[in-house]
Amino acid sequence: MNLINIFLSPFFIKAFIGLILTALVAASIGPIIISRGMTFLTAEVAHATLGGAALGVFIVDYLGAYVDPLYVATIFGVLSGLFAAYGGRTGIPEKLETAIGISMAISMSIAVFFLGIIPSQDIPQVWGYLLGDILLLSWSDILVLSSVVVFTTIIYFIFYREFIYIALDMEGAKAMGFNVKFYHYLSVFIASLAVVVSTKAIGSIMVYAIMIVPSAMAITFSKKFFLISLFSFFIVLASGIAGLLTSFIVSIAPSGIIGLIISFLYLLTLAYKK
Amino acid sequence: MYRNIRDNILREKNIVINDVSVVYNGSAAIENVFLDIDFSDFIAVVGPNGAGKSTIAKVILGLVNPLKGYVSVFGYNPLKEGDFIRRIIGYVPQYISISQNIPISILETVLMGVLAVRKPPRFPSRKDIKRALNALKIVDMDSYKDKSVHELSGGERQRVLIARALAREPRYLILDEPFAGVDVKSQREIIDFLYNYHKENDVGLFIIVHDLAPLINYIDKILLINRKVIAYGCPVDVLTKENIKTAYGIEVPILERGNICYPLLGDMHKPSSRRGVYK
Repeated sequence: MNLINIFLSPFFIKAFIGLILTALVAASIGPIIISRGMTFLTAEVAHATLGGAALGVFIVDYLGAYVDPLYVATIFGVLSGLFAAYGGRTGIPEKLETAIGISMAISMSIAVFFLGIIPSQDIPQVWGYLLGDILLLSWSDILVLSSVVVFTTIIYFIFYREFIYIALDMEGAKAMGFNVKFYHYLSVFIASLAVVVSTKAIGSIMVYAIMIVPSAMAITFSKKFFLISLFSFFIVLASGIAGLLTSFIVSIAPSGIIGLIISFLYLLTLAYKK
Repeated sequence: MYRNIRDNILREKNIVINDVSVVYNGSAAIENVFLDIDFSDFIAVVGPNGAGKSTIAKVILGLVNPLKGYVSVFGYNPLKEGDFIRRIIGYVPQYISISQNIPISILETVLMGVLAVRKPPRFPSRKDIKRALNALKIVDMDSYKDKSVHELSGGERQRVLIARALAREPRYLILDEPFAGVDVKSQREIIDFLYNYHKENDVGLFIIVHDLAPLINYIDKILLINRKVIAYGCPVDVLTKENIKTAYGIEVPILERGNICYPLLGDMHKPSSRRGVYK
């Protein structure tokens, strides 16, 4: 297959747009997640989305009310993130991490509970929310993803300082008069929202890879927030393009390849640092 | 001139804590505390671990809600007018409470103090940056502005945190254990510039410490506390054998120098805690 044909195929164009949007999510949310010490939140919210989707399907099937399970999943995912944020509101990273773990246990239990109730033919639909694929993006996915990206990027530019300040020292920020609670919940809110929406679009595996690894890599090199964002953006973009091309050539799902490329780069960083 | 304008916003010239008790999770952190602190005094606060030293600081800053009692900080109520009080009081937390792996430069850390009084979006102006650099100059850290927190030693981190508080041009300064993990030479330097700042700007200092030794020649008053105020006043009156024993619950070796009894406290802990007991 020739390369130009690959680039011009609608799959690739949509995947490429998705990739740019995802890179923007990684650039704005990744450094916040890393510096707040809540890397586990990505996994937690993604799994809560599963519980929310199962609940949504249950509402449609058994309660007769029609709501799009996607909305239920989104709200549920964000709420579970905020629940974890409430548990970790003192800002102590260990407490936040524990609260995230508890939140995950609750939402997974709810997921298992409703997955057991709903008819078995609906179960793949529920799992579908966790297993998006960047090659299967629809235009409506892109629309939702881009509105969330615009929102999170704006919030990032307005409040990134406050997010670092509360990460640095929540007590001190409070004593200086920052509205610590607001920034704490806002940061968890935009992180959860971004995770839910990008999970639906590109799948949970790739979300883990792009949210955490590039920022973790960048933080070993630089201590400037903006540089970390910029670095994350380009790492996701570059490894994304490489992954997409490879997946076209050898016909393997791209998210796995992209995850592997990013992880490999991380290992290189570690080796270089040593 | 500037001092006059600054002081005009104060309704009173003192901090009054009247019969205040604070309870955390059912146990009292401080009980029936009465205090009247003049706004330009240099005060050292000492007492065993868990004696409520930090709690008093939080009461002044309006960060905890007392179970009972009345607090007035320069004539303002910290619970209702806390935003104002937190604007005019500089607070320096223990540097151990600062997260290490945060992507932030020293200059940005100090800017935090300047920007805190702003409304969002908080983008620093050239003037803000100048103020931050000035504060870094006071603590002699201006050549470190582009470094990050994790590259600094304990003493240097402490200086940065003090600069962050000074950048706000505070009317009063509260420092929580500024000498923990700081080497003796840096301790001395930190005290020197704090003392100069205190004298030049008539800014009161409220310093929570474990060890009085480095401060003893500078302070106006000592607050000795163990849930209740054991003694508050000039070092000569506070540092008596009886007071020390009441506060720490044990005999503490004391050096008498002139009319000052000087307790050899070091890093003192209550007898119940795991550290050794001084006898």
